[in-house]
Amino acid sequence: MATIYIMGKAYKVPNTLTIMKAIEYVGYRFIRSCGCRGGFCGACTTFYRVKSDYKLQVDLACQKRVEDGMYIVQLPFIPAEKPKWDLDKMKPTTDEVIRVFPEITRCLSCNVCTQACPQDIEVMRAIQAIRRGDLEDATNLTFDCISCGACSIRCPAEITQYQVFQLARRLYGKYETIPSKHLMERLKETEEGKFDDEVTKLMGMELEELKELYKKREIEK
Amino acid sequence: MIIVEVLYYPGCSLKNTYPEFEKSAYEVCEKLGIELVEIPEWSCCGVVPSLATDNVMRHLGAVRSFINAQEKGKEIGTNVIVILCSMCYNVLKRVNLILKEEVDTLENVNDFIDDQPDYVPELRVTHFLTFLKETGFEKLQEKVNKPLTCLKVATYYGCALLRPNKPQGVPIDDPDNPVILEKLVKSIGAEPVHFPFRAECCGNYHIVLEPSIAEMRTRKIIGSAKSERADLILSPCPLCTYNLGRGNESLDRSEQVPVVFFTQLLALALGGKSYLPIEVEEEILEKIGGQKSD
Repeated sequence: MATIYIMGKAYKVPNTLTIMKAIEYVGYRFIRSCGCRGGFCGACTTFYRVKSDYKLQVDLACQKRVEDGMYIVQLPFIPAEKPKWDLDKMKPTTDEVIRVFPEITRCLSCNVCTQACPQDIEVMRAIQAIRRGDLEDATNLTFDCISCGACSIRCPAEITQYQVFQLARRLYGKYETIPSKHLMERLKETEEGKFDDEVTKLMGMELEELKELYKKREIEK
Repeated sequence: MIIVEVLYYPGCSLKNTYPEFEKSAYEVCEKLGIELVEIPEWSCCGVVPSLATDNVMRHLGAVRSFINAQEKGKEIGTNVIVILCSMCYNVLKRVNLILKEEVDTLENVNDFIDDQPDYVPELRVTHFLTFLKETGFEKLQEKVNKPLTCLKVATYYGCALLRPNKPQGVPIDDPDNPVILEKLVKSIGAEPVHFPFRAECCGNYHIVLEPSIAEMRTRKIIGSAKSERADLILSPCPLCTYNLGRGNESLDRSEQVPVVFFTQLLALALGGKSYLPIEVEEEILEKIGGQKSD
């Protein structure tokens, strides 16, 4: 068993549980802050300290196992306004990103954001990549961002990194990547009704028939 | 043929606002056999806030770049960083000197950066002009195949290359009577115009909140160069260039003087691509009676 402190109150819980399950184990019911329970949605951002360690730590409650002496608080929502931007009227440049998020110019390179990231994203490197004019690098570095916002809570320059990265990725995706020819063709075929008959046939099938068909499906290698 | 490799720190202005500054420098280096090795993962230099004396936090951007440079330098066997941008030079030079002098500050910074190797302040931060001077202007002269004869060039220094004098070692030349740009201009066959406002401040960041201050100051600088019959103003600094551009915009066409980076003129004289605006390059070529660059 482990002793954990939920908003200051001590509870004994089995030490095999995740933070999320431990909170439920002691009797709380999640109305918010639980999300997908699979480590993908970024809704269960949890800050904690472990007894006699000065470092403030961040993790996802659904992914992190409890440790003895953990002080826990959850942050279901990160206070930040999402600025409006119109991708169609923008260029894929650092100047454009700075226009929307001027605070990125205040980055001190302290790297606290990186230490806060439960996804192990190199947050500071990605911000600096944007400053260097390298949106491609920023896109690749932040691909796994789940927008939990932990970085922005710790940032001394008050940058909302997760929102900055979304803009960087979208600018890069829209203007700097080659459009997929196959996708365009497939979209056209779909719009022209090439698959309508097949879909109608599937919609009319019995459950057992569908299951059989699913078992025999062609699996891409 | 590559004669020498150096670590190169570009700075944000060159990557975003003035790619021609960097590109022309690459041209120059190619002609001179210098390989500029861009420091991997360099950080924003931190600009002026980096120099607040009581706040080592402000040094982190510079120091992280030094650490990356230090590690890359071990790989390629050099400790020299070359910088083109005046402001980045000024900031990184001063941070490096501070770290060399102040043992406590260095220790604080190294303690804070616990996710990278310690910085051992043995890097040499140089401006590209100093680097060219040390390589030898006469060597540069030998490589000139399109001498810019009859071209009158106003050599503008601005502040960041010449000031402050403390910590010692920041100015790239005598702050009261610099000659490095004049020597450079002579080595490419052009005529330096010695004008009284060559080391005046362009108005710096006043351009953001009080653009009229920067415009007023740069109009004086441009007017002074014009009255000495300069064909163009040579600038070593992105911010000065921007402010001088704003000054030009506020003048009548007949009173304007084109502003170019020193690397653009060098590239032209060495037979490389200058990345100058077409009309400026054509004007220069007309003056020197030469042909268009590649």
